[in-house]
Amino acid sequence: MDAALQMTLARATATTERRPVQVALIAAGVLFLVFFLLLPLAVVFGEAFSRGWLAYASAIWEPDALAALRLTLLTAAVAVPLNVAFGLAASWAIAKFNFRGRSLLITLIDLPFSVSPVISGLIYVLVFGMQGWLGPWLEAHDIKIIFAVPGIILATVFVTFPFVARELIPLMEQQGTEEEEAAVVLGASGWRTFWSVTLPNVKWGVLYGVLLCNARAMGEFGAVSVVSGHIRGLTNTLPLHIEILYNEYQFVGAFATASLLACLALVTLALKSFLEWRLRDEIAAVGH
Amino acid sequence: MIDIRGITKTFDGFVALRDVSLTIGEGELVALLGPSGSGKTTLLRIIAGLEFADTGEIHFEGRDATRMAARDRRVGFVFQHFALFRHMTVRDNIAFGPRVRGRSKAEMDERVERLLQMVQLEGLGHRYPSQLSGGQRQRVALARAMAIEPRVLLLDEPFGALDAQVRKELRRWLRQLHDEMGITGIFVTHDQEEALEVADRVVVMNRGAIEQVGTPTAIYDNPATPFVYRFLGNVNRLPCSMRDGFALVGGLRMTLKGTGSESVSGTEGIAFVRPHEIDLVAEPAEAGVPATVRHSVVLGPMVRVELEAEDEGIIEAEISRPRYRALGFAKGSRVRIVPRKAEVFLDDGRRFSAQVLSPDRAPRVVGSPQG
Repeated sequence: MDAALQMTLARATATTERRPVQVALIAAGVLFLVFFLLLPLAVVFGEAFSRGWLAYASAIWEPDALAALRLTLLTAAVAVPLNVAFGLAASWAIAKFNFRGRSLLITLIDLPFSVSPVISGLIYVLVFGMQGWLGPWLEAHDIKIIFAVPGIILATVFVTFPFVARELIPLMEQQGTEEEEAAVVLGASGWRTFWSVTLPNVKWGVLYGVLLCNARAMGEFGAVSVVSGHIRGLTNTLPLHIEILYNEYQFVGAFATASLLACLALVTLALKSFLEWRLRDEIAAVGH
Repeated sequence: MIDIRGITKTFDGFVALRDVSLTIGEGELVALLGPSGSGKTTLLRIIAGLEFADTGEIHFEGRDATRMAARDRRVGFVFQHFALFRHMTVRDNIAFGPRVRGRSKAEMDERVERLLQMVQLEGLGHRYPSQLSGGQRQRVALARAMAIEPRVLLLDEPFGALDAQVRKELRRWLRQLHDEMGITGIFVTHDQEEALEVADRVVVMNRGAIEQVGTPTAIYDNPATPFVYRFLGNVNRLPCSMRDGFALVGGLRMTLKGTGSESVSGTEGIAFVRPHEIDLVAEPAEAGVPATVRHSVVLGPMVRVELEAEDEGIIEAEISRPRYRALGFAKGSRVRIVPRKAEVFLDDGRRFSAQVLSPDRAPRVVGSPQG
C-alpha cells in the first residue's frame, strides 16, 4: 500500500470513536439543537399563525409595528457602519502597530461585553438624561437624546462596539504585516496599501463582524429599554414592541412581530451562506 | 552602487547593528551570512527602508537615501515567507508594483508576460498563491519584486522556507538569472553553503557587526576570525600551546608560519583544523590527540569519522575509504588524531598558519608539554 494512504488510514482510525459513542454524540447534538433552537422557532411561527394569515398580516401591518420595524432598521443602519469604521481602525492599529496604550484599548473594546446591557443604558441616562451631567445644557439647546431616537442609537452603538474589532484583531494579527511591507516597497502609499491589501485580506472577517453586529443591533433589548421610554410609534424598537404586546396579552401580535425579527435574522444568515458559497474559491485563497 | 556608512540600530536596548559600513558595487551579488540575531536581516530591512537606522547613512548612487521612504527607494524585496498578496492572482501580484506606479495598461501587461516567462510560470497567471507550490510562490515573489525594475534586489532568506531539492534548484537558477540580467542583489542567509555557492562576495556578520568581507574562496580559505572559522562550518577546535615557534597539539609539533612566528613562545591558543586535514593513526602511537571512534559514515569516496577526544569533545575527521579500510577501526577503537594543517589563533589575538613540516614522513615527536 502507498505510504501516504496508509498514514491517512491510520489517522482516520486513531481519531475515530466507536459506533455507540458516535451515535450518542450525534444524538446529543441533534437533541440540543431541536429543543433549544428549532422548537422555539417553530413555536414562534406556530403562535404567530394560530389565528390564520389574516390575523398575522394585520398584526404586522399596524402603524406601531411598522414604526418599530422602521426604527429597528434605522438603528442597525447607523450602528453597523459606525461599528465597521471603528472596528477596522481599531483592529488595524492594534494588530499592525505597537504603541503605548495598546492593551488599554483592547480592554476598552471588551468593556461592552463585560458590562450588563442595562448598565450600558443607564450610563447614557446618567450622562444625557434630565438629571444627568449634560441634561441642563442639552435642554437649554433643545436637544433630546434620552427617550428619543439618538439615545437608542447611542446605546446600540455602545453595546455592539466590540463585534467587528473582536472578529478582525486575531485575523489581522495572524496575517502579520509582511504583505503591507511588500506593498509599500513596491511603491504603494499607506492609503493604497490599506484599500488594496489589508482590507481585501480581512473582508470575510468584516462580513462576519457585520452580521453579528447587525443581529445584535436589531435584537438588543436591555440597553435600549432603559433609554427608550417606550413611546409607541416613536421610540419602540421591535424587541420593545414585542414585550409590550406580550404584556398586554396580544399573543398573535407579539409572536407575529417576533417572527418578523426571526425572519430578519434568517435573511442575514441566508445572505452569509450564499456569499460563502458564491465566493468559496476566493475565501479558500485568503484562508479565513 | 550602495554605500552604507556607520549604521547603528537598537531595538529596546538590544543592539542589532553596531557601526556597520559596507559598499556594494553595481551588478554585484552579495550574501549577508550569519547566525540568527547577527543583524543581517535588520541591515537588509534598513537598505529597503522598512526600518530606519539610529545613526549612520545610506547612499544610493551617491545620493543620500537615509531618510527616504521605502516606496520611493525603488528596491525589490523578496520576503522569507514570500508575502504574496493572497487575494490576488499571480498576474495581479506581479502587476501590483507597475500599477501603483501608474504605468499604462499595455506596458503593465507586456511586463507581466515577460516576467512570467522569466520565472517559468507561463500559464499560471490566473492562479492564486495558495494554489502554487513553495518553489512557484518564491518565483512569483521574485517576479513581483523585479516588476518595478529595481535598482537593487533584496532577498531575505530567499530559500529558507523551501525543501532541500527545490532550494538547490532555485539557488542555481537565481545565480543564472543574476548573470543574465546583471542586477545588483543582496541576500540574507544563515546557510554557508548557499552563500559560498551563489554570491560574488560574502559578508559574514556576528552580533551586529561585520566579521569579514570577501570572495567565497577568500572567506573559506582564509577566515579572518575564529568566529568565521567556526561559522563556515565543519571545523574542529584543538587547544594548543606555543613553544619556540612551534605549536604543540597533543604532543605533535607543528611549525608556525608568518612574520614573528619564530619568537612565539609560552602562549596558549586554539588550533582550527578542517576534517579533511586530519589523519588518524592507530594506538599505540607516539603523538596526536587521543580519542575514541564513536561513529562513521561513508560519504562517496570519503569516510566521515566521528571521534570523542577526552578533553576536546567531538572531533570530525574525513579520511579516504582505502585509508579507513587499512586502519580497520571499529566503534570504540582507541586512536590518535594527527592534524596535517591548522590555523592557530593565539589568546593574545595573533594568528598563524601551522603545519607538520614533512607530511610524508612520520610526525616528529616531543615530550608532552605537561611532562
